[in-house]
Amino acid sequence: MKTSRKIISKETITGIADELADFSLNRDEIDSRSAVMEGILENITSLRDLPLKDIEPALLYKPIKSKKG
Amino acid sequence: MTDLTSYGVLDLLNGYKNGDFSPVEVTKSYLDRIDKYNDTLNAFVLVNKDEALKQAQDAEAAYNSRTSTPSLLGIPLAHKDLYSTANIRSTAGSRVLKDHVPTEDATSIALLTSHGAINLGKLNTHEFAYGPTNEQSMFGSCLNPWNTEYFSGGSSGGSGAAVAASLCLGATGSDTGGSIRIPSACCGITGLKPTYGRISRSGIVPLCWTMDHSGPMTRSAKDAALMLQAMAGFDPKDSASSQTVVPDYINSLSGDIKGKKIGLPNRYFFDQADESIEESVMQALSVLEGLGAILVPIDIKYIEHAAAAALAIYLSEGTAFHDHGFNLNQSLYTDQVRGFLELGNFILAKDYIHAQRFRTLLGQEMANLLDEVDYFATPGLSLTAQKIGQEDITIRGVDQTVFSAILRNTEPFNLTGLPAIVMPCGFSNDGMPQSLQIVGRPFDEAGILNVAHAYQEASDWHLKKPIL
Repeated sequence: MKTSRKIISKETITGIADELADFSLNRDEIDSRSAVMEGILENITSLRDLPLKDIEPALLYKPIKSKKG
Repeated sequence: MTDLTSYGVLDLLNGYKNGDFSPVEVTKSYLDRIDKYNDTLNAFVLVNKDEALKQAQDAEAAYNSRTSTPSLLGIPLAHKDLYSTANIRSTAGSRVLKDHVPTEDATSIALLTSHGAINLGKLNTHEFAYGPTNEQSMFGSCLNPWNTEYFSGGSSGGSGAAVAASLCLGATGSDTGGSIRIPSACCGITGLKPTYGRISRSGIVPLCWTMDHSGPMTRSAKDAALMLQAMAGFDPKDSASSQTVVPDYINSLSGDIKGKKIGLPNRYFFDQADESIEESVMQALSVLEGLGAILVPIDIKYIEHAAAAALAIYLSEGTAFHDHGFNLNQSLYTDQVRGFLELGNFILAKDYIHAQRFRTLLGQEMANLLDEVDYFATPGLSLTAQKIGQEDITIRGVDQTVFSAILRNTEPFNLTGLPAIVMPCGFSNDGMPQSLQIVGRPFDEAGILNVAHAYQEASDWHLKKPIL
């Protein structure tokens, strides 16, 4: 099944930048970031449809030893 | 008299031992070339002249005393400016770190120094290693020695240009999506990205923790083996460092590849490679066949999703790494890198995790294939170096950005952490180098170095030098 997604809006870009990530974009930057981000998201969203159900992420956390080992 | 900058590492070591020439003479020859040509290329961003000469004098004294000598004594190298160097400015090519002077060497530089290598200076890099062309740097673009209207490739562009132009004998590089292999391919040298964890990343400014690798960039596979021998090994300061035993890389260079199976992917890697690159790579593979290797067609399932996964991971991790100081220093970043760091804020956590899960999926596919074959072979890049400032390219009728095209064949092996080496195998019609990539099983650097060595024993592309 193909995962559905809506096109990311300029309001979302502005909101995430201002409200969550603490940086501001001017009008030109909002336009350019929106266009680039839409292309990136289109690519990345395709990963959601791969057979990943039983696969754990490759992140490896290593328990930290005390100085006594 | 032979130009002293034309010798390989073993030739220099033998010459030093026999008293044919000295480390001081060789170091001065390299410093003269830097003085003469660096303004044209912008490869060095700092020349460590006085200290290099002192190191050379110490090396000369050690040879004269005929005591046992370390493996790289008197070999003139240079280092990507992403690497920390004690008491030497280390900027990562960014105005954010323009006055940064570390107190300690990166582990791999400390190892090279302890093996007797001379540090000629620091080399240009794309700002924070965040780009494959080396066009964006506080020092300006690094130019390609084969044609200075073209980019050097990046992010280790200074390393690629300096080795190709004989401004140093070898250099360090780092590779997150291809940043050792891309400038090596663009500049016509040999570049090795070892297995993830083989060489310590400690002391190298991170771009993306789970995909960063460091490695040597040299004129030949033999020189790469000698540098790798000094750089490889466990480092408790690097959480991803491997305890796998370091083999003898030099003695593994037999040149015998008879019966070795080389998997040739039947799609993706060649699909969007320039036709003349495909032709050169196929000719190189026929040389390997002539040496007894067996070509086996393979299909790497899911490979077409590699770029998306890599993008999700480096955008997320890059933004996380720079989060602390980004808002304070926004105006100091180049526009391109600032844009990437902003974009990382829009990746959903679940997509980052999917990308990490994809790495396991892709890694398993490659592992299954590497049960059947010994190596994979691909074009190093699907294009050659392009003119500075060129953003788009059409290959086989497909319009794409230079940025995505240049990463296409290298970044899958950053996702899976497999060792990969590129070597020159021809030239395009406009005179720019083309390359072959050989990929191996985890920690089989010895194997891929041996394939590259076998090829270089049977061909002379790696001996060609740009006219400056």
